[in-house]
Amino acid sequence: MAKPAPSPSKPFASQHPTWCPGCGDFGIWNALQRSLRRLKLKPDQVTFVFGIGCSGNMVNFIKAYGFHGLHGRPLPVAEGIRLANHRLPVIVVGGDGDGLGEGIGHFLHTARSNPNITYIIHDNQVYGLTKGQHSPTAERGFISPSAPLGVQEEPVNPVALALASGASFVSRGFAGDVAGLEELVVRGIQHEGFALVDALQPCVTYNWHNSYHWYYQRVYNLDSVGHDSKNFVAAWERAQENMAEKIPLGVFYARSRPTIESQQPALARRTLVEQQPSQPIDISKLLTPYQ
Amino acid sequence: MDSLEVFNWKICGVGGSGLQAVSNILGRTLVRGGYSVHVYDEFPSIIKGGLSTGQVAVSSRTIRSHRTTVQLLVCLTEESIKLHAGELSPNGWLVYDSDVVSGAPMVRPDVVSFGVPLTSITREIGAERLLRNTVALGVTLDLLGYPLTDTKKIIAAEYEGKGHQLVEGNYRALAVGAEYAHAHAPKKFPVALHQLHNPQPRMLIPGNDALSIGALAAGCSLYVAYPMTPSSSILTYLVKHGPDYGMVVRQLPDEIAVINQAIGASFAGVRAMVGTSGGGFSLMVEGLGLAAMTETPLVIINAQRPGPSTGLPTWTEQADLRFVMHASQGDFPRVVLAPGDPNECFTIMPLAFNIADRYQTPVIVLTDKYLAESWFTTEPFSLSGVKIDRGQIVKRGKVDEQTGMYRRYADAPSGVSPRPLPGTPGLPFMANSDEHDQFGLSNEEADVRITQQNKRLRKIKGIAEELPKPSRYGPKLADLTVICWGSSKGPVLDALDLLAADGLTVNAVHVQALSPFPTQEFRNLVSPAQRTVVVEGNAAGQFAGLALEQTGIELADRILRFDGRPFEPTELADAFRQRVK
Ligand SMILES: Cc1ncc(C[n+]2csc(CCOP(=O)(O)OP(=O)(O)O)c2C)c(N)n1
Ligand code: SF4
Ligand SMILES: [Mg+2]
Repeated sequence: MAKPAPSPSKPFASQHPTWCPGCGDFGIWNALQRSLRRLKLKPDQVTFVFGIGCSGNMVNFIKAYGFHGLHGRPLPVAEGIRLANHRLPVIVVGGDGDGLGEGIGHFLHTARSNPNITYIIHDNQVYGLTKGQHSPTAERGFISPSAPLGVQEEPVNPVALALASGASFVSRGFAGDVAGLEELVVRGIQHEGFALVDALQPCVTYNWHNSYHWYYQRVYNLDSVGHDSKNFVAAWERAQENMAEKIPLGVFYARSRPTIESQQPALARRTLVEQQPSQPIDISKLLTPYQ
Repeated sequence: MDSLEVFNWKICGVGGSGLQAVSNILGRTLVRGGYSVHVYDEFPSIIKGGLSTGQVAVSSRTIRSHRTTVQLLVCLTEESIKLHAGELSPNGWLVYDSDVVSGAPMVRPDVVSFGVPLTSITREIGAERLLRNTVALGVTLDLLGYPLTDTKKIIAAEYEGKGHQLVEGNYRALAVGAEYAHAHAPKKFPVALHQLHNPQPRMLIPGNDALSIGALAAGCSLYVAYPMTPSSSILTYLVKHGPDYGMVVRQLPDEIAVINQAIGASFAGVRAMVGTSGGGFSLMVEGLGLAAMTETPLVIINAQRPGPSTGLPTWTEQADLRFVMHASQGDFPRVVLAPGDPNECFTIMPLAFNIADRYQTPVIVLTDKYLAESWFTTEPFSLSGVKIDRGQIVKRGKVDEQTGMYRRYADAPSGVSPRPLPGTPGLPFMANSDEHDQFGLSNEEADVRITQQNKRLRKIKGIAEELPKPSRYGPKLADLTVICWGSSKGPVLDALDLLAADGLTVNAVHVQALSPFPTQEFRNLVSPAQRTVVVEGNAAGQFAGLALEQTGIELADRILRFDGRPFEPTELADAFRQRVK
């Protein structure tokens, strides 16, 4: 086991991360620790769900309850956890390949159903863990080991996709801006519903194009231009900005809307897990229609 | 009529015209009267149009399956006469809608044709066309000399939610049908049914409803699914009744979301179940292994239909056995249970949940269209002997000093280690699809891999001890031993009864738990057999191959069926007879 990560500034650290030195995942990991501490949450109070990827390897660097499932499938697991226990704060950590390639259907449908979870996408334009193939967010022309002539498809725009899918909280952060990312994660957790944090994350090993420097030249904060996060049309316009030129960071859109948990009659008073019976349920009433 | 004195009624018409409902009402009427009944529907994979049939087999002796020979055939269209009149028994009766059939129908000379102007009768009483079925039901009951009282009660209960007018309309349709038959029947119908003396309360229920009620009894509290015939009625049943019992029931966008959501809920501590058919199960395969690797309890129902691919969507087959019992990568305990009738469907659910929880592993329940959607007569389900055992869920424990994490996957002799639920104070851990150490942290060291893999696989031993053993039906010594599994049970047992009436000694072995395979018990039952024949609904003899692999017993003689139709007992009895003569 790698040596334990420094405590108590990082109460949620289990082992020291094994990401490549300089990887943007460190920034996201730090921002997560800081936001959880700021919210005064303890490791046994939070449940993480991880995708598969360098990002999902955070399963080994976080101390909390957690589930490291299948590539592309963390969102339905997270929704299931919320239905079982709607008092647990649930945070999903996954890659752009995981969430926008393999699992893009879940992205759209989970935005629609609006469970109260915070979803952090490590958006690095590559499949880090499988050695640098392009991901669905890679720009057209991006050269990767599996696209030697350059990517031929348009990139997925996670912010626009979330808006179009009815997501109730849509934001974008940058691993090189830990304080800004911390703020977004805090707001995401506080938001009652599906909260997307698209975290731009330099992969220093496989993505030499979208480097820290490249991002620093382009990012700006939505607050600095007086963006109104209640205005869907404005959010949509900001989401369409050409990333090659300008990259807005911050909360694009937030509104309150019923969560899927809040609409289940069975969860009106207590959590499902609190209601687990220890004796068989009397089903005799159900038998009469068959007689 | 065969030696079990089965009366078989069949109604044919256009799909989506309520044939299933009317068969069901006739079936329940006769179950109330003390008869043993089996209701079987066939329908094409389209909603309206195409020809559908509903059939009701009735006997004062126990029957567990349908029959192909028909004594009373009701045809609502001209085409259905052409298609089905050949199924009539010698001197059988054809009742047809004389408003839609031009001239006298072309049938065998021994058949009694009775034209009833069903359309105009229905119109005259101002009822909508669908009620032709109820008029035909009235005709049927009158021909049988059977009172209308129970039928009216069932109609009232069935339609009361949909309005008084509908109930009244059905009453009238029933009465005019009976009156018409009374006044115009060409002669006395050869079969008479009457309410049997002092009937025991029994139910007429399809396998899917029995599974659903079993799951509710077992405290299942989350069911998620994506519709797929023939599993869909579990979803519609539980959506309707589950919330009264505190259940969360949802239709999700696809089967991958389904299994992952159920796994998430189960990880968080609730009894969760999913249901599908082979196509949807294919999408769940990776999730199946995930449940095993993370040691998360889960119950998965696969109601089989013929494949490959979309196959014959509304027909039956038993050809997913090898698929489900080997599905997903790697080695892990595969638990596959195949109930043979609705009572076994009901009782297997609490067992499936208890095994899933106690061994922290997925359990597959395998049925098929025939069992899932046909209606069988059964004793009312009983909760006696039903227990809820959630296995080892811990609220307190020691954590590792260095990591502060709980040893969720600590090695254990039984393979099962206690699990805390997320949110429990002080016991954080990771459930990890990567191979992992005792805390659930990813670990690729050889000794950790071996320890964890052995831990998971060791569960098989305990599970095997708890599964239902193969059952023998009929005499201990017999000239022929019929071996079957899952839903073939009903037709096989009915065939045995037919042969017993002929004085032939044939017995049957029915296997409910298919994986882990009950090797010793199966050997004990089958080794002494004089002669064996396997009856199963697939082309490859999947079970026969499995039995050979698991027991070394070669079962070369096989009756296989893969035309989408279920086995039929009189045909089976003939096939068995040939083998013992
Ligand atoms: C079903 C399935 N397909 C493929 C893989 C192999 N795989 C593992 S991680 C990964 C891509 C990871 O990329 P991303 O989600 O962007 O995460 P990153 O490593 O960039 O953080 C792939 C293709 C897998 N584990 N499962
Ligand atoms: S490969 Fe890229 S994403 Fe993965 S750890 Fe290294 S730098 Fe980070
Ligand atoms: Mg990536």
